[in-house]
Amino acid sequence: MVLITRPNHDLATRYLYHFSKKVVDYCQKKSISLVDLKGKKANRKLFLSYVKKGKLKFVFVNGHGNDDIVCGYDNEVIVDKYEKDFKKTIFYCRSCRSAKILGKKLVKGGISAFVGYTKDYYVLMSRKKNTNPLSDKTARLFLDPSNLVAMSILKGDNVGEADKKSKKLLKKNIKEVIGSKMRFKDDVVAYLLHDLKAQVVIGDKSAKL
Amino acid sequence: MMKKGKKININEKEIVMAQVRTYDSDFELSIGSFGTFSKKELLENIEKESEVGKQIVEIQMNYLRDLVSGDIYKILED
Repeated sequence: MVLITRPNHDLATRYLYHFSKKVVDYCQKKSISLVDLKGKKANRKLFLSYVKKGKLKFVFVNGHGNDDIVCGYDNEVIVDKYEKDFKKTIFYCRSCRSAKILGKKLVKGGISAFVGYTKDYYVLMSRKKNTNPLSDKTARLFLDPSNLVAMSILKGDNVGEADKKSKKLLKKNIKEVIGSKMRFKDDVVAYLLHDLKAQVVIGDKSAKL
Repeated sequence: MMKKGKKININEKEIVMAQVRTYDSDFELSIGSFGTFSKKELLENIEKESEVGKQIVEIQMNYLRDLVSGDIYKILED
């Protein structure tokens, strides 16, 4: 079973909400068993109720976080420690800095692998597009590569390959920006490079669904 | 990461502020749990050397260093 959390209580989470819908759509198209904790459903109580069923193979968290937590709707903490029913789950946390402490803690507890960020996760957006995030081409430069981590794992790649594919797309986007006529492109590249360097895998890179 | 309390180098601050001033007015930057910042808010944060301001300067200067040293070509290798 795959579980995705995607709150939408502020601008940043609204972008993550819409971009992770692509992953939800993929699961539905391929009839992958999915729990979609969207909006207010991205809360600790519901999250833990699915954890207790002990059937989670892959958890894709979208939301705010810091060194030792990841959050759901209204920044309620949904993961702050290893739960015994996580077992061999693979985690991808698209949230700030959670690879610094939380990721290590979860892997030490027993999950098979954790993909996340050691620093704050940056996304550049266009205010003109923020009522329709999927049409925001600047944000896509950041969020399509991170979506690819989840998509690649769902397609059967191992965690190491998923990380590699995601970084390859980030690098391709950086090269395209460098060669483009985009305004303030140096700054866009700087933030993309920051995300590239911050994305890490902790645990077993050969883990797969 | 720049240490708490450490001041930003004045030259680096000016370079980055000059860069940010060129941004379009519809620009917004989501910085994880710090929130979303407009061009004006970014300039204010760099000026007062908040945690966000320090991060922006650090990221931009890291990029310039990668560019000058040529490390960016290694980073972008497949």
